[in-house]
Amino acid sequence: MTRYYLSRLDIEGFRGINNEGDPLSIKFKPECVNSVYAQNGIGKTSIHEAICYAIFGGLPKLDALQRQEQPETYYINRFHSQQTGTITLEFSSDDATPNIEITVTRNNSGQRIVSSSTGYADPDGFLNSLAADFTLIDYSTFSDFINAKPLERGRAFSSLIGLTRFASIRQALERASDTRSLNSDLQITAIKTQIETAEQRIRNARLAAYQAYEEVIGTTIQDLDDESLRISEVTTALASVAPLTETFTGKDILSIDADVARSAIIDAEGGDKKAQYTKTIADIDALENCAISAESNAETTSLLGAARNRDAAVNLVGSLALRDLYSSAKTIIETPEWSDPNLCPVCDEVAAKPLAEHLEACLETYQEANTLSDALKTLLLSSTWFLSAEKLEASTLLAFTDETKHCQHIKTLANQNTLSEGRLREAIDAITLFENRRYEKLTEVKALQVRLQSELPPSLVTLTQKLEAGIRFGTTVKELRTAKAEFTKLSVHHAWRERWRSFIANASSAIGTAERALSTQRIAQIQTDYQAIFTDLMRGGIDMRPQLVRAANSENVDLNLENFYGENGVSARAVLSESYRNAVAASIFLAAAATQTGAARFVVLDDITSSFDGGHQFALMELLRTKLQCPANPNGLQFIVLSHDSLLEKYFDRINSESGWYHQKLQGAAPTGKVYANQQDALRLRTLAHSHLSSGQIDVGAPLVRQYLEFQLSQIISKVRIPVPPDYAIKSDNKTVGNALDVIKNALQLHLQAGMLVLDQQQQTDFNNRHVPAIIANYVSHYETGSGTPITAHVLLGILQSIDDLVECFKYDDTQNPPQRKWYRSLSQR
Amino acid sequence: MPDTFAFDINEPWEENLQRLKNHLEEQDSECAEILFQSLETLTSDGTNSRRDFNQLILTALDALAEAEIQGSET
Repeated sequence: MTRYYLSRLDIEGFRGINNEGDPLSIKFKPECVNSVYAQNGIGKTSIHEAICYAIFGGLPKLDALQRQEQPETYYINRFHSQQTGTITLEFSSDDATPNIEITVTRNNSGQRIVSSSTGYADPDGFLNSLAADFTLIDYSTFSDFINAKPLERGRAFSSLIGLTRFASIRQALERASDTRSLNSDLQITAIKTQIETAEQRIRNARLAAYQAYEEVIGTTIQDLDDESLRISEVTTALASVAPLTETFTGKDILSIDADVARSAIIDAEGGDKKAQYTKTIADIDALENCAISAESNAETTSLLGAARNRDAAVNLVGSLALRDLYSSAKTIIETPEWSDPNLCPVCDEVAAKPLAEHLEACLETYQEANTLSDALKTLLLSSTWFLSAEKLEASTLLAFTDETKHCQHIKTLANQNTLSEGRLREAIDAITLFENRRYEKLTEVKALQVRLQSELPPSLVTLTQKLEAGIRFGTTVKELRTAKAEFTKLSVHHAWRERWRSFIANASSAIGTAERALSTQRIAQIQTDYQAIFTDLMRGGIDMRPQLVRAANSENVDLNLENFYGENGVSARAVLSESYRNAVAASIFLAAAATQTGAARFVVLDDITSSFDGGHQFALMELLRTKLQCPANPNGLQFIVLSHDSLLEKYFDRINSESGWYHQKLQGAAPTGKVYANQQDALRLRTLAHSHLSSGQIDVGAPLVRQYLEFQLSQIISKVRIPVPPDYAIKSDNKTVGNALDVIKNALQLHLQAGMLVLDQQQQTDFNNRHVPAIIANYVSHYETGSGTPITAHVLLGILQSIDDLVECFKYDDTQNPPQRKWYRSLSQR
Repeated sequence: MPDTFAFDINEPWEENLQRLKNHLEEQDSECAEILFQSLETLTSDGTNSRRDFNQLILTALDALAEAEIQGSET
């Protein structure tokens, strides 16, 4: 697989880098450790952020801001007139594959646009392929690693060993396969209740149809498998009786008009009693049809139980009115007009931290109550008890007044998630009284029916009974069909949800097992390496070995020490100092990074050595250079080290002349002005300083003059190999120029007294008597002591010239024609 | 679904994800398709990611159920 180094980074208009019309351009060498140093406020962090945004698509630091802080407005440099951030990355391959250049632009609408000037077909996909856990690492990743609890460490460790996405998908599927959540989110419990209701309807309809059939035909049936036959039999039996024959012409028992059929009998036989008798049959049917069965009544126990659970959850979190208050408060503080995110809009108190997060947490606690309210609603509205109760209340025969009815009200309350156990119990009690009333009325009508039956001719009674039974048969067959269709539909939906439940549970289990195995494998794979790296880093320390142990059935990772003063299994978190802890984390990370095989063959390390003392910093850098960086390590990576540590910068300066290291220093005036990497841009830095000073901008130009001077002095020390005293690197930054000049002057003096100085007489004189005094008197003394009269632009322009002249004292013309200016090899050699 | 699935330590994430997808498709291609269509929602950082994900799953499952019902009626 082709892997890629980061070979160039251009930034304009992004975060602290303005550089309008002239992007900051930093080149990185694949075969070197690339160090970039910048003092605070120059733009080092912006480099890290630009790479992060380009590859990962966002900045966690900004994403963590509150919405009202408008994080989206902080991506683009606020002083860039075009309000466009542009990041260009050039990647070179580790084989013959051509370079890829990708530009990521963010416009003032927050839109992220990715393109490739080298014609790469899928630049976004390419950047995604680089988004490995190793690509960007900062100090907090290390420090958090050791201090974390085993579970947190396990998750952080997944990141360190490049398994974040494996762990993330494992966690996600664990959440998705949680049984309780599935029951609630996929409404599995509710659909089960609906299926039970449909089954009950089928049973009831079937029994009613059997009974009606028997009343018409005179024989019993045990099934309705041949439904057409049964319909035909009932139709034929009724149609064969003279008063009904015409009514049934071209119709069957399902399609006849029942009232027309009833009228036909009345017309044939005549008499009010017949009509009254017919009505008693219809009334009895109607009253029996709205009965609250014992089975339906039994459902009230589970309904009350669901209401009780819902009440308990609501009581736990407080009144729903409070929820509405939280919700309103959150809406208010998230409006752009609300200036202080810590100010409570209800009590006017100012909280210690922004309120939005707190309100979000409060609202989240209502979720359980909402879920249980939803469950109650579904259970109630799909219960046969409720359906029967609605029918009972609607009975025209019983004629309940609206004020005494309950169903509509509890339905409304359930829909509003405010139905309490007390209110439901009240409704159940009332419906029980209605049911008693229904039973009394039924008894009354049945008595009337018996009386009329005795008064009417038997044949008329029988025909009327049969017709009503036939009509009932038709109605129940239709109900049976509807209930069956509903049952089938619900069953299919339920089957898919159960299928999903089974699928996601098995998927979660399979991924959990695979992720654990992978993590354990990765630990074993890197164990020897991280222990060896730790020994290298801690050279001179005690001979202990860190050891990671992944738990068998969780994501926990314990970090122990073996051979800690002879003891094994000692907690690293408990006994190690901060520096040692970070060394352990660095060892583990670097060992893991070395095993990566993804598209990214580079690692950006941002200020990872903050807690290290000088010795350990240098040990780490040496380790990168000699063991982990390619080509010193044939399978190694390209390391890009960002640092603001001035001690480390001195080290970078020194080692820059050696192979395998490439050091650059950022200079400039972030975030309003321009920033440059001085290794390539010393001349540009000088030009910029000259430009600002020429236009009278002393406050902008003066720091650039200082940076230019520091750079040229460090160039002299580096190019002519001037040895520096041991404390040179740790002296104050304020005195960098004075220290450098002292070092150079002492070395010149030493070589002169030894008769070995290679500088000609004029150069010696110019250095000692012209340029150094000019620089010190006119410039250095001002900012090192903070005293003296203000410096003018004219003086600073003169200093720029003195700096250039000073550098010339350490160069000579070679023998080419025309001659070229070259650095002396040392103070004693051309 | 047998627990025979394993990630390959030598392969990058994308290939392992494809490997997982292939495995799950072998177990249940329709559910696997739904899962991968909505996976981004599930793995996002939002506090409601699980609920949002399950809402998408419910919609997809209902569509499959309706299609099955329609298919059986015609």
